[in-house]
Amino acid sequence: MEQAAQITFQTWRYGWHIRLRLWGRNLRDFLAQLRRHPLPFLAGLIVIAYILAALLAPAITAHSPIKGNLRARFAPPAWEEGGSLTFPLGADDQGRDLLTRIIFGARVSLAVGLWSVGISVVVGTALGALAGYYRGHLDRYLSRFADLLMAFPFLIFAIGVMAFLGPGFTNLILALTFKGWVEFFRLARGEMMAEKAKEYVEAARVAGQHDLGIIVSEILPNITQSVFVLGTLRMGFFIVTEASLSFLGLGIQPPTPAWGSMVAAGRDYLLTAWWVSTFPGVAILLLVLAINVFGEGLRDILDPRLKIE
Amino acid sequence: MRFTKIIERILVTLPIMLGVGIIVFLFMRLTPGDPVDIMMGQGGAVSQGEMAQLRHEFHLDEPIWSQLGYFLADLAHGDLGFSYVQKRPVTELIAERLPATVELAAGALLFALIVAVPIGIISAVRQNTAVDRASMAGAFVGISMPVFWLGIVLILLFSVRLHWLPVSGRVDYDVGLAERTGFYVLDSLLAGNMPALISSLKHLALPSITLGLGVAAIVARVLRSSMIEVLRADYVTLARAKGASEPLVILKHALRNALIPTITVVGLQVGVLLGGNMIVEAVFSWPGLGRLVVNAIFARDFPLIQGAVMVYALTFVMANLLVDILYTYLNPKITL
Amino acid sequence: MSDLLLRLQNLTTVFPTSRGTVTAVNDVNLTVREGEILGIVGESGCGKSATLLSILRLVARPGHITTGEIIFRDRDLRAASSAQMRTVRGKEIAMIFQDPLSTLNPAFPVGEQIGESLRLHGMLGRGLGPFAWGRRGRERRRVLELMAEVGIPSPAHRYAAYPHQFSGGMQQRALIAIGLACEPRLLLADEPTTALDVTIQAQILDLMRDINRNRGTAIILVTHDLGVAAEFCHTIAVMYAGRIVERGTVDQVICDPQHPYTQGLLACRPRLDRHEPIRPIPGEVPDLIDMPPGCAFHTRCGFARPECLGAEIPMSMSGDAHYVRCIRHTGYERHQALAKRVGLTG
Repeated sequence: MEQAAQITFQTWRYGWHIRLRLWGRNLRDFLAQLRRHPLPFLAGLIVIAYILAALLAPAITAHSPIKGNLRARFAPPAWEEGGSLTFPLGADDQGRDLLTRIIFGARVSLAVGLWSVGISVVVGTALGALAGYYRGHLDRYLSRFADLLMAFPFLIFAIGVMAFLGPGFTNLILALTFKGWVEFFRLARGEMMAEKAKEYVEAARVAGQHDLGIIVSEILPNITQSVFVLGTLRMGFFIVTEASLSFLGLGIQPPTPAWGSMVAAGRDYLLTAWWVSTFPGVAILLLVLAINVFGEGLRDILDPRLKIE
Repeated sequence: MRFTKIIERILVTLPIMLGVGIIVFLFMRLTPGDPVDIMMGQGGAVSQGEMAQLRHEFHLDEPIWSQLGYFLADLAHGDLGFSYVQKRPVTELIAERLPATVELAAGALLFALIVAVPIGIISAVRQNTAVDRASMAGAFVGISMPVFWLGIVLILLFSVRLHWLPVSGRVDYDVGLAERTGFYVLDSLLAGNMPALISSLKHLALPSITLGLGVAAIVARVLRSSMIEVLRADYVTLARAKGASEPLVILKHALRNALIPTITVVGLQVGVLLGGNMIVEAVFSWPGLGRLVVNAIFARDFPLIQGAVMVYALTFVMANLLVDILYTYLNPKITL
Repeated sequence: MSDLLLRLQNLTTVFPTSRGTVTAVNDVNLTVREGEILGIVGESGCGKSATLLSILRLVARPGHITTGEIIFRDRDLRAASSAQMRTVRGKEIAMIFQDPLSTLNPAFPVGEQIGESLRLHGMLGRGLGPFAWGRRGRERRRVLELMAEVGIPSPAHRYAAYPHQFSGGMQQRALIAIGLACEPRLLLADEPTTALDVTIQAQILDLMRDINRNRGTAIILVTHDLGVAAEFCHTIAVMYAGRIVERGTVDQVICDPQHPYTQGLLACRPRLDRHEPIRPIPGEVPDLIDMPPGCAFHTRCGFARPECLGAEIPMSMSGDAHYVRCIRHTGYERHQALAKRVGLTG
């Protein structure tokens, strides 16, 4: 019996190496599968386009996102009367090129999205894994706390936090992660409890592996898949929340271009310069739509069990 | 039998409400800066002595535990504090604006259900047809769309370009609406004031649609997948074998079962409604609780913010409680 | 001779799938007389359930009936409109299914579900408006009667109970009550006892036998259990891969099976009286997608010959009302077999 456990244990210890190599192959399979789902593939490309645009922003834009040319105030988009290709999507109330600001705005939104989702995932998964594995007091207190946090609607909570902390990039991330980790906590905890009951965990423990080692090297890789899917699906939500907060004036402050505040700024000019509010919103919509479509496609590929249909 | 279960659920929410209060309180106290300073910020110059006296009045010189105690005691009496910016009790301010917000939320929820339920059912029955694909694509867009932008686009379309609907406010001034309950639609009905009714409905339309569309999208998706699963079940085949007509099978046998998981989702969406409520009120200048809070944030009126956040959270908890109770009625497997 | 109640003529039902077309019911011919109990026996997936569903035209899309006639009391059900079918379903032909828990609607009380059959077919007499609540009383009384008839104890207590509160046997009885509510002439029973314990199985079968005797209701019983069929049915049809391969009275099929498959089925039953190794039929059921013409059983048949494939093999007579679908029984071969049995051997 002990022998068997030893063998099992050694196998998956060396299995790590095999796993890494399999990962490479898995990636190729994954991409092949992705190509079979055209819509998520396209969505993925769009997301990558956004990321590239954000990274290369200064290189691909001709105007300054912050300094405006007052003579170009409210220049209409290129296809409208009075528009020109200098300002393809028009200019805002300070004569700043809208397209440039939108591209720079992608930096903010993507940064906020990635950071807040990233931190939420790490914190939530870690706490959830620990809570699910050890149970007991830790689990009970964390779960209670999580339930309590869930009693607040997300936006209300974020607004409340921003109200007390003040606007700004770091405060924004803080506000989003403070409630954001709960979902990942619950997911990781649930999966951990399910995995813990399986045999390979028992085998590892009999072989003398430390708890922490078991959690990290064996169980966690099995959980990451669903966490990853959830993270992708929630990213869009975080980005929209950031935009909403910026819209209310609670998020990223001007003159830093942020899509939400751009829409808010254009509100007073709806009658005369509708493009100032409209196009930043389109940028948000397109990005979030692409993320959601990609995320759903990801879920269908990685874990058809989770599929609702 | 069910009654005790309901009491049980209510009792479970009490500690949560308590917890909510504690969290909000802690946030208030953890804000950097002297609370009295901040509170008095708008009030003008106050002497040191008076500040000390006020600090004593607000129990700020006592340990944090007793502060919490006073806070919770006040809460139990429905006293949410005092706003120094507006020079009025918070509870009063909130109560004043609450009907407007509730009306908006109700309108949004109604719109969402009216749109989502038929779409969910039809999409499920006609799975994978053009109708299904189109509605699910629409639902996808609906959940990806930022609420504030949707509001602005709708304003652009229906107010600015088409002049069909008004841009802001709850009702035109010239219809002479006598406010009784604070729910303008209800008040106009009660007074038999037709122009007021039409006016308030017109003002309610765009904000409700803006707020409700996102919820409708999610509910439609969940209902659809629920229905698809239910329609595959054996008891649906049996219903047909009994000789029931197709509409009866779908609307009675299938829907009843499909609603069970859907209701839970609707409960969660109330949270989205409450959050989005703030944004929609800002976009449409709707004089409700959301607008009050946003203004309070800029005026740094912390007691008001605190009170409002609490009200929102408690409303969410109660809404979920209601959904829970409704669920026990819908799902016969949940008894004692 | 009692009247002919149901006649299936050349019935074929197909299910298009992404990999090809599955012919679940392949050129099936069956008859059922008033008061007769016909058993359809075969392995899982051989098309027995699909046959029953085809009779009521309840085949799930995209499956559909391609050819054939379903003559019920001189009416072709295939030509009937949806509204006409609805009057037949539940009223003249009723169906009970295999797993009672999943077949009863979990959201409604059992009494209400039984009563629904009565309501759907106007069995409680006309009565609108002020007579409506009189009707509810009548409905309740009739439902309680039915529940008692099918052997559900304390019906009054159970009327408002939900399906998950019933035991498996009682659930099946409730389903039978639903089936009987409108006094149908024909009852289609799709493996009604498969999901139940053996003792309950016997009870349910007894119940169904009583129904057949007392009410004269004809029954088509679909089962994979030859023993049940032998004990319960008047006639048996053996199905394999969508086709009827043998048909006859219970004595003929059980005591004198002619088709190799039937013989195999009978031979592989474990016996209590003798110590013998169990002799299973070698091989597996073929893939039903795009099957080639010819005998589907030939891959597992000890008597297989090249002529078994290539052309459809018709049913041939092998005795009085005993039919077999096997090439050994056509023409000369059959003559030989008959002669051999009668004692004239060459």
